[in-house]
Amino acid sequence: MTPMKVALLFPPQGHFTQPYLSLPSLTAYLRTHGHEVEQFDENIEAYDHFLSEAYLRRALEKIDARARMAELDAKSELVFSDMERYQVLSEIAVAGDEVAGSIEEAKRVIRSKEDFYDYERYLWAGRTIEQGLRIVSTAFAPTKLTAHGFIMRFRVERTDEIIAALDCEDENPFVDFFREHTMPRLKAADPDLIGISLTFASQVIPVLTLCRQIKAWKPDVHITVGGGLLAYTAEKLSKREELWGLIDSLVLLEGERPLLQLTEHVAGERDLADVTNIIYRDDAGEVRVTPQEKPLDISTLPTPDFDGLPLDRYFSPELVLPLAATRGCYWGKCVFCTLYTVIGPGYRGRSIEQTIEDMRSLQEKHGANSFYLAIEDLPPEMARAFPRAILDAGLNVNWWCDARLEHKVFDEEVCRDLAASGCKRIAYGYESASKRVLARMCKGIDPEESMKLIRRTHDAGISVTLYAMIGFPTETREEAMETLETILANRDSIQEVSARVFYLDERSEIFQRREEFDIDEIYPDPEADLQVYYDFHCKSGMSRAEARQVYLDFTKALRSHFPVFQNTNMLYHELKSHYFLYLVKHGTFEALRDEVLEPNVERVAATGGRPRRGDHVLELPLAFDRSVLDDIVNSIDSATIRPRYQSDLLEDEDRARFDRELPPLARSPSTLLYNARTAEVQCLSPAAADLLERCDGRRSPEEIVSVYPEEVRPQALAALETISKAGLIEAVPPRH
Amino acid sequence: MKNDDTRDESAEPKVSQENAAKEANEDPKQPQRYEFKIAPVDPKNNFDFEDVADK
Repeated sequence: MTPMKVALLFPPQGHFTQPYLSLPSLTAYLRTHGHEVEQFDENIEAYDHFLSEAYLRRALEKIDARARMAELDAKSELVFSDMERYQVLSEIAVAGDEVAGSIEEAKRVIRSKEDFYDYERYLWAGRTIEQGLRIVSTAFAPTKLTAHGFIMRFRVERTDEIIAALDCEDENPFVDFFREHTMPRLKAADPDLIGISLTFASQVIPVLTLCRQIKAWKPDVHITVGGGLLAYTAEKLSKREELWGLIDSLVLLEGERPLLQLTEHVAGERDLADVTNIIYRDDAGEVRVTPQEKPLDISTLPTPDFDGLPLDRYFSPELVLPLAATRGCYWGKCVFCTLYTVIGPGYRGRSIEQTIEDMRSLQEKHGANSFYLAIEDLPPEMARAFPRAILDAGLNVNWWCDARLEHKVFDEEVCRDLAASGCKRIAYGYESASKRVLARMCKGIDPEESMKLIRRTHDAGISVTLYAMIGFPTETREEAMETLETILANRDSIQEVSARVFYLDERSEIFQRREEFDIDEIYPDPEADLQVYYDFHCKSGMSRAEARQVYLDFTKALRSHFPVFQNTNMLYHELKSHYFLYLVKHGTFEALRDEVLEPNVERVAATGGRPRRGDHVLELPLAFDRSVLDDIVNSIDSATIRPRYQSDLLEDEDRARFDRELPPLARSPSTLLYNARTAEVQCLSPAAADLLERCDGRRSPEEIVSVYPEEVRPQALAALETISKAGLIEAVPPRH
Repeated sequence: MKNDDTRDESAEPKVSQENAAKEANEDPKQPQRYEFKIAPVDPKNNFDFEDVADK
């Protein structure tokens, strides 16, 4: 075997709070076999770069929000597309400079072990990061880069559109990012083989953008792409000529062995035809699929190797490292699931001793005390023995994972042991409260027993997250509402709900057996050569539009009833690890709720003394009422109008229709305020803005409102209190 | 209704933002003159739960 230099890259866009497991798993495997591996997490690198003061300042210059706002404010009325622009530009015009100036501090707060847990500072930092991403997105409009997604107007289900996105420098922020930041480091590494992860649809355009730049630099270097998404799309993608100018091979299923064999190929020691589990194009131009090897025995794998990743740059104060104790699902019967497509057939596990050793060595090496078990579900034997093993080993760790609602396994003792071993959160696949729907899904769980288990889990001190699915074929509105009502009725024991609408995936069992589920029609997009999800018609149960509406009602109810989803949503927003770390800090959800989320102290109004408008409040007078405009723009749900795969962008055609058909917004002034201490934006009516203006530090509240007719003074005083609670005024002590 | 592409910009009233705000506020006939409205503007409340669940 000849040692080779391998570069492994995780391209944007994925989550930014912790590293993913793909590169460390592959790196460990290749290093164990004597290869030199450099791993590049270009996802966190990109977020870190975009959310920097210099980058945001350049973006602001490009956007020129004040000038574009002046144009919009000069109009006699705004049509829908104007309103969309107005919403974004007005926020940037009032807050952009401040956001750019404080973005470095916001990242520092999120990464600081002290300031991260100061909830007010945390919320400020989280909001500032969100605002920073809106600035980046606006500079590349209509592209949207958020904490959770990257979408362009180019559809990732259509190869032609993907290819068109690769050079679209005005809308694709990664063209410049890869050229300026990734390529110089990759050139310095000068690898013999380059492996790129493609797990999410949000990575498709960035991956191929990067491949194009690599090929322009070094046409002969072998680029292989592997990951979860390819399990669905590789075969379709491989039919496209354009692909083979950018990529040399596609890896299907697990990457360890194919990647190792590819190192032998680039060393001239193995033919591509003898590399297993790949698709490639041979010298005659024929696309070949090589034989599939049986799944790996994962107990033979080394501990994931995170060395070389920028571990101090994730947006988190502490490392939460992912670990896979198992691959596959021991249940494997749910008809909607496509897991076997992604990681191959069969269910395999490492021994409990190995997982304990993985945790111990990563704790020693990186000081990581928190782990996310990146497994599909906690198998019964592991649920029973793993907690004891952690305690017996004297490991002081915190962890969380997904699990099936196995009511016979998770008895009181198991739940207690899990909590004692540091398990702070379990995410259960609940899906539905309806026995009939669960039976049709082949979930193999009983909703009533499930709810008892949920209570046991919660009572043991573990935070419970439920996955819920709406619109499973044949599900009625009543059945979906039963799910919502059951969840709400048991909300004392449930801390988070992750709801989604059912998608019909062509790799799922239900797709093959769709007639049995009353699906009589599917609607393929004739131009989408990479399509894997289909819109469909079902003869019974809710229509797709109804299911979406129930989902919207469902999420609205979650927002009003669950503390984690209320106010700012920030903890849920940073789902991967922030909520978990707050749980670790406070011990239990109840403590977190009482000490942080719903403290028993009201935000005190500073209306005593002589209120004075704070210097930290930035103002922008507007010719249109921004709060009315928000109501109109936010009332449009793009997914109801025209469902698009992983995209909430409106189609130009729909936008043009709204421009024609929706009544335009008439002029009516308002004032936009940015509170630089909280990073919150408020919209004030003219009277409220006038009231704030009168808070000059020289008058008492009564004197301030004395200019108004007597009958409106009580409202004015109440408004003053609201303004104060929003942190817009400070009280100057009364003179003595 | 004309759409944005065909709009004749020269026909639009050219009023500065500050003046526009002031004019409306000082008009005693404004029915909302004493409406003290303070509304948080928070586009992230519109995030889709599904986006969060995917990664």
